[in-house]
Amino acid sequence: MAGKAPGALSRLIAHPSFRWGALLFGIIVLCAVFAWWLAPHDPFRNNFRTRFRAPDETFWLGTDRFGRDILSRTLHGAKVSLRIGLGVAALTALVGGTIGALAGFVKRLDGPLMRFMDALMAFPAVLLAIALAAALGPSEVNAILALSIAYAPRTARVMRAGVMVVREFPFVEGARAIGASPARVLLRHILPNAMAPLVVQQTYVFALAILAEAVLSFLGVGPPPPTPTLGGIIADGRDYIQEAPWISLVPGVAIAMTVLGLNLMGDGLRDALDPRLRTAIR
Amino acid sequence: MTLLVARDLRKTFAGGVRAVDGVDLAIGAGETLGLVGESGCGKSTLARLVLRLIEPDGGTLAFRGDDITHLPERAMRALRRDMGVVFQDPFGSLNPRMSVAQLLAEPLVVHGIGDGASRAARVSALLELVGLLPEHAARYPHEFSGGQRQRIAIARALATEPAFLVCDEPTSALDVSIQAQVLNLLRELQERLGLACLFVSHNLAAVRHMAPRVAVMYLGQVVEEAPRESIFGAPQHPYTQALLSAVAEPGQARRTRIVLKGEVPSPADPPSGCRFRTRCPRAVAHCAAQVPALVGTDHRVACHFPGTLD
Repeated sequence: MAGKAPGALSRLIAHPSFRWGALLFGIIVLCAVFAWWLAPHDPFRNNFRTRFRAPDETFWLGTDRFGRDILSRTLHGAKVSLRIGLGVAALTALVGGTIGALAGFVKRLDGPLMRFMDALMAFPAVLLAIALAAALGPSEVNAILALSIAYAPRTARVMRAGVMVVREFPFVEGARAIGASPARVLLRHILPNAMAPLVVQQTYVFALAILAEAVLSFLGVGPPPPTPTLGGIIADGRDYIQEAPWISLVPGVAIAMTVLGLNLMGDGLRDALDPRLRTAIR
Repeated sequence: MTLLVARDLRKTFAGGVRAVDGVDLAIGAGETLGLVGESGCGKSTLARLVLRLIEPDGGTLAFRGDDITHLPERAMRALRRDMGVVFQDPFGSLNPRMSVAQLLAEPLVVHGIGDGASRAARVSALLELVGLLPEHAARYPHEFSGGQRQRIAIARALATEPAFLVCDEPTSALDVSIQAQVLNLLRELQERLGLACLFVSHNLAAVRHMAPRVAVMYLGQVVEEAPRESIFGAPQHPYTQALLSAVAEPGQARRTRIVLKGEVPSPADPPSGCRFRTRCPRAVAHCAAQVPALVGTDHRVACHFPGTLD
């Protein structure tokens, strides 16, 4: 949908932070997708003779206490983390987006829906996600569910605000004037014009979800071992941070790069999709 | 037959603003009524009320003899097939994410008229009707100028062949050089298609061009309503006279301008009696006590002391 706005796509491609962000994030995604081909070692194979190896020519980024290759585990961990981030971004867009759109469009539903969202938002998102993940049990799907519940209120707020702005545009009254049903007015006229802030918001949710997933895994309520996740690998290295810092450092850098890439892309999208903000900056 | 009849229509907005305060209107089939008045007098609110785009707080509304004041939402939507509207702002009134073809076909889709092929044919016919080309159908609103967009808006309003068209300041957002083109197009279409039309404008020349009958609004009420010739030739209400005296006309001797004193009073707290009395050169004590009724047959005026200037 975004491509239809005049020049949005070309503005996006020309935007320096979007380009760097997309490059960085694109490389990480490719590494994660092709983890099985790229990883030099089996990420699950224990080998007691290679425990705590510092980076060398066999194990480029060292090994952990079970002798597993950190590079290989990080590549596979990135795959899991990205899957969870994508799942959370998609699910919050669907659920939070729907709730926000209804709250912004149907005045009767605004109060009840948004008070419910406010109640969820009253808890710190990460804390809520930890509690939910602990209650649901450690698994990848449960991590996605827990994080989606924690982050959906933010998406709902953004969607609601967008809908409330577009609702007042003259073409919405024009759609009513030709006899369009409320559902048609919302789906055909309001939503396509209110998607830009949601797209931007979801890149940030994606990044936040990856960070929060790392916290869940670090605390042991993420996907259970031996599944490599970035947070889980950091947790593995926690007790050996003095002697084998590479164990925690490598997945930590991977998380930072992923989040940086996503945030840069989000900034670019925000500038390209919001003409008002762009002229304000100029 | 009288197509649209409004009786004692009222609308009060938040803050007690009485935007429309007891307006009677009647528009016959194929007839155009011009509605003039300065900004904030409630003319756009009235235009939305007669289409029930906003709900009236009082009064009744009849379309083709049927009371539609409290017509349920679903039935009202079906009735919109017979009503079209052209808004003021051609930049805001077209969905930027829909192509011209989608914009023009949408009323047909909404009302379940025709199939894909017949709708496409109708889109081409509509474009031709408003002086655009069939190849414009694939383009998006941002690719057009203001005047062309207003043509698209007119085509969209006429897609379902309505009997009644509301034009709410259709030219005031356009360049002066384009206004005449759009006005001529509207008038031509109105005559050719036999449309009943409520033409709202603050532009006296535009109203004169468009409407054989004209109503003048002040602070939420109609103060004078008459055929074009009487309104412009022999206005009775002092407000109409002041309004007309402000228009410079070429080839005419300088007429004395009647400059009204003071500001328009707040519609949230209108003056007692005659609303115009605070600015009226003829006002006397009686004007504050009694509300003047809109009286007359062909030429109706709401004033205790109506009369031409001389």
